[in-house]
Amino acid sequence: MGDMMTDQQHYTKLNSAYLSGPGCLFGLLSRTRLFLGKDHLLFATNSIIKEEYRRVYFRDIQMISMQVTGFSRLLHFILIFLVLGLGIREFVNDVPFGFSGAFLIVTIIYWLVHWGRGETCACEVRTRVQSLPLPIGRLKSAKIVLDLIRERTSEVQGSLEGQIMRGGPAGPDKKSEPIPPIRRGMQNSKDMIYMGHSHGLLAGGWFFLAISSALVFLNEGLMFLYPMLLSFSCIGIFSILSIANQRRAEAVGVLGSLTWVGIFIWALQAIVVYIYFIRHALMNPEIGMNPAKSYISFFEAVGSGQGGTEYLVPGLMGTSAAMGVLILVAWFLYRQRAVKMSEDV
Amino acid sequence: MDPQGASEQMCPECDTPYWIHVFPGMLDAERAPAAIEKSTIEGDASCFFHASNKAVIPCSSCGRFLCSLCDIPFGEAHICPKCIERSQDSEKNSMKNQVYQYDNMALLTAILPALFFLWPALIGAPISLFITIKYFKTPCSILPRSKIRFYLAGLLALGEIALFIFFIAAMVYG
Repeated sequence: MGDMMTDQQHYTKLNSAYLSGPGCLFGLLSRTRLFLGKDHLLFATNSIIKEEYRRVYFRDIQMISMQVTGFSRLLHFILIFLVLGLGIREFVNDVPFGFSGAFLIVTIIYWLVHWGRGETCACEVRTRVQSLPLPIGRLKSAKIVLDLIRERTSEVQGSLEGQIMRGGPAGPDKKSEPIPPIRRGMQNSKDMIYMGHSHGLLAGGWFFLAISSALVFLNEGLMFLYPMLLSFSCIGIFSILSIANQRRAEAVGVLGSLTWVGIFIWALQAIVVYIYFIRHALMNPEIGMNPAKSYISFFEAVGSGQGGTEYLVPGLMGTSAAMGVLILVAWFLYRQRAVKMSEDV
Repeated sequence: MDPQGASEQMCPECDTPYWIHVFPGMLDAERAPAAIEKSTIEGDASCFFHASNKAVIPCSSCGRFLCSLCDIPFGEAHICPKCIERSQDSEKNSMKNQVYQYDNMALLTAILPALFFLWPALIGAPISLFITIKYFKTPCSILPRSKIRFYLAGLLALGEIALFIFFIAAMVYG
C-alpha cells in the first residue's frame, strides 16, 4: 500500500484560479489549483494557513462540462460605460481627460487579455457522488485541460461513441438512467449542508449598524457616520451572500424568510434616508445643486440630529438592532440543526 | 472551439453555449455495490468487521478478511477502512485531505505584526522564529514546495529581534 501511495505523489499542474471556495468574500483569500496525477485529478485549495485536497479518480468521472459565462461581457460593458461617462463629464467640465484616460488604458489591457485567453467560462467535472467546479476561467485553457481529462478518462473507461448528450444520453440505455441536473456550488454531500456562516455575518452586520447608529446618536458627531455607512454597505453584501447560500441549501426555513425581511428593511432604510436627504436639500436652498456640499451638509445635520433628522438615527438603530436579534436567534437555531445534519452525514 | 468529442449546444434558458462530454461511467450500472452475502454455513470465512457477513476478499494491506461492505477498491488493491484511516493519520502519505502550512504561518507572524506600528513584532518575531524552528522539517504540502518561506520568515524574525535589541540597547545606554 505504501508503494501505491508514493506512486501518486507525481503531479503535473494543469491550472489554478482565485475566487474559489465558499463565497467570493472568503474566496479572495483562497486559490484552487488543479493537478494531474497518475490515475486521478487533484484539487488543492490553498487558504493561506491550510491546504485542502480533493481527489477525483478517472474511473469515477461520468461527465465533464464547460459553459461560457457572461462575466467578460459584463466587465466590458462596465469599463466602456466608465470610459464614456467619465470622458463626457470631463469634456463638459472642460478638464483634462485624467480618469477616463486611465480607464481607457485599463479597458485596452483587458481587451488584449480577453483576446489572448478567450471568453470566461465555467467548467465542471461530475462523478456519481459529487460535482466539482474546475478551477479554469478562460476558454482557451479550458479546452486544453478538458481535452487532457477526456483523454485520460477515456483511456480508463473507454469512450461512448456518439453519446454526446443533449438533455440525456443518446445510447441504447437512454431510458435506464436519467441525468439529474448539475447545480453550481454543489460539491459533495457534506458541502451541501450549509452551516449558516453568511447569515452569522449578516447578523453581525445588523448589530454593527445598530451600534454605530447608537454611537452617532450619543456622540452627535460625524466620526461614527462612516462606520455606519460601512456597515450599511456590508449588510447589502452579506445579504447577497446569504441569499446565494440559502438558495443552495434549499431548507433554511425561518432564517431564509428573515433574510428577505432584512433586505426589505434595508431597502426601506435606504429609501427613508434618501427622502430625508431630498427634504434636507429642499429645506436648505443655499446649498444649491452641488452634490458634495449637499452630502456634507446632510451628514452634519444627521450627526447633530438637526434639521428634522432627530428621528432618523434612532429609527435606524431600533430597526437594525431588531433585525440583528431576530437573525441571530434564527441563525443559532438553524446552526444547531445543521451541525446535527452534518454529524449524521 | 469545441473540445474533442463534445459538441456545442445552446442553453435553452440563458442562450449561452455549453459543451458536455459524457463517459461510460454515466451508464455503468456494474459499479453499484455488490450485495452483501450473509455467512450461513459454519466454517465460512466471515468479515473481520461484520462477523455475520461472508468474506469476499482480503485487505491488500493488513490481510483482514472483508465483506463487500468493507471492501474499498483502491486502484488494483482492496483496502479496509481501518487501513485507510491509519494511512490518513500517517505523516508521509498522499492520502491526506489537508495539510497545515506552517511556512506561511511563520511568514505571516513575521510580516503582519511589523506592519502595525512595528512594536507588535516584539511578540510576532519570536513566535515566527519558534514556528520556523519547530516545523522546519514538517512537510507543508503533498505537492512539491520549497523551504523559501521558512528561510524568509527566519531571516525576518531574526532581523526584527536584532532591531529591538538595538533599540533597547540604544535606550539603555543613551
